[in-house]
Amino acid sequence: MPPRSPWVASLELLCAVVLLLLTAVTAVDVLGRYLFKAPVPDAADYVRGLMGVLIFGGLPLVSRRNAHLRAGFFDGVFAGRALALRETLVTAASALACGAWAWQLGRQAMDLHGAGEILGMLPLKVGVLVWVMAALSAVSALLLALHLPSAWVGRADSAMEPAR
Amino acid sequence: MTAPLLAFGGLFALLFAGVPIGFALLAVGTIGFASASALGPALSMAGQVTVDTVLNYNFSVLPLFVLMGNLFSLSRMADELYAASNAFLGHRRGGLAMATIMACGGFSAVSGSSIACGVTMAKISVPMMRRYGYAPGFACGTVAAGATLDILIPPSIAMVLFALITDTNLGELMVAGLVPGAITVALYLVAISVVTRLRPHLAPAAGARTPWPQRLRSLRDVWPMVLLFGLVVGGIYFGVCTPTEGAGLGAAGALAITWLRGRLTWPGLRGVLVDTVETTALLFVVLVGALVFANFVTVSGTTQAFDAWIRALELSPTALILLILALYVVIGCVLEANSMMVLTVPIFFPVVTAAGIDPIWFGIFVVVVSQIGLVHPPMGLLLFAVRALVPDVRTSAIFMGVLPYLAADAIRVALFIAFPALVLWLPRTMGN
Repeated sequence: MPPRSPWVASLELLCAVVLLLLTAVTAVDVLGRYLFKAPVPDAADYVRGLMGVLIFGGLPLVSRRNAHLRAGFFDGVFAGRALALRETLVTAASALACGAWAWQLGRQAMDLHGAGEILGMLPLKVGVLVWVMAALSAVSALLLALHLPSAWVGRADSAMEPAR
Repeated sequence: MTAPLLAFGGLFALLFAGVPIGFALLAVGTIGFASASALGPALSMAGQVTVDTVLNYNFSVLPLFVLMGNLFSLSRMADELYAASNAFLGHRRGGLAMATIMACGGFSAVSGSSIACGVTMAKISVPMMRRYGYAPGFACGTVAAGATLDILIPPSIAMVLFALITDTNLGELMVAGLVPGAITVALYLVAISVVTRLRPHLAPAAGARTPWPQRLRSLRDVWPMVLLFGLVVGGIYFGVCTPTEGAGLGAAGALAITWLRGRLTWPGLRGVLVDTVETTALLFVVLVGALVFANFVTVSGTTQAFDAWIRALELSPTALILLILALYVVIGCVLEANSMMVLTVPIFFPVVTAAGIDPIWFGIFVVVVSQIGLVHPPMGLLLFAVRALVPDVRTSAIFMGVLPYLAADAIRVALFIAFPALVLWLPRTMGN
């Protein structure tokens, strides 16, 4: 696994704060509604925005460890050079799929930005949020691609982690 | 039907090659959709599904329930849970195994991940059982089987995924898991009782009985967990909160409990939060992939073809369920539980509901069958998760230890098919 760099620590911190905010907004909203008849205004829209950052913020963290969920049926079958080749092809396919996803999200962001759609009642354009999602997907694709050299030489840090 | 067959063949080839499930579903779903329409609409569909899924308020239930379970692990209340279960059951033959099942049931009531449950309980109960002379395979098999309760007793990540894929009412689904969960615990306890009588060497003679004052004291230590479960599931049952609101309350409550128990350090909390974010990201890639794939399944006519085939067979609803059960047993031999669910539900669900089978009942059925898949070889994830912590016990020994519970599972599935009310009674009383 690559060493933990400052940008990883920063992204982890950002995601941790976003998750805490998500929890706080949801809990305060429901408690405020039932106990004080005062829910958090536009809570659902805040939650939607936070979800976008949370999920796509987590994507590079998972891709950095090459730890996406796999079926892993033939994991024990490959060894040596065959395993290195398998890992290279799988990592390349993953990076390609993630890159294509990022590209399509970028197109989606342009369309949404052009339409000027905003996130519920918040003064936040959905297009901007989807741009962030597209950028984080692109970073994930890049991080997956960075595993290719070590996958090719069969280093352990390229191997995908087992499914959770 | 050539395109769908090619798509399914391609999907299985990618999965078996080791391509991540979410990316494989996303790629095959998009390419398959393009073959049925055109590339432009297919790409737009994939992008739109992603945006709609990620920015959906209701889907925030997933990270919140994952966080609740992870915080519960951080609070280390599982130790007290096991101690309390042991105080009541430890003196019986196989009592430590029974206590493990009860503790797993309790853990499941505040956690949605069976792997988290298996790993946590294996660390606590396997050393204890081995110290008292239990057969190692039986001890590990008990933990693996007990951990499967986590996806049946709410809150359950598997239920959330099923509800999100099929647009089924998550609140009803969660409440529907309660009675089957209790029945499963009871059947597992009976299985332990029977197997330790037939094969006494698996578990030694009963130890000393714990005095009642000590038993009651042990209960005092687990009340926050009971309160949290009551708050979340009770709130959903009585219609006080939606599953999303319940999940928010549960996560906040778990945070408060961990803090009150003095277990809330910044490194620990940060680890839990990052782990939750990563798990959420992993699951959402699979979820988006499953939804894109489901769109392809619809547009390609696969569901209609499967429906036509089922109609041609003129099967009764029970026969249809038995056929699906047989398919799940076969598929469960080559795919792990999550992959099996996201792949099959988009195809089976419309056919099953068209045949008049209740969607909530089918949701529980799928969860139960996936649960069995977690411990049956060769893909039983929990067998390997437990073995990773106890490397000196062979996987085959753990599988032998799981067998009594698989027998109980067979009885359980038969009960749920014969008496659907066992599943549907409680959700039908919601709000009454």
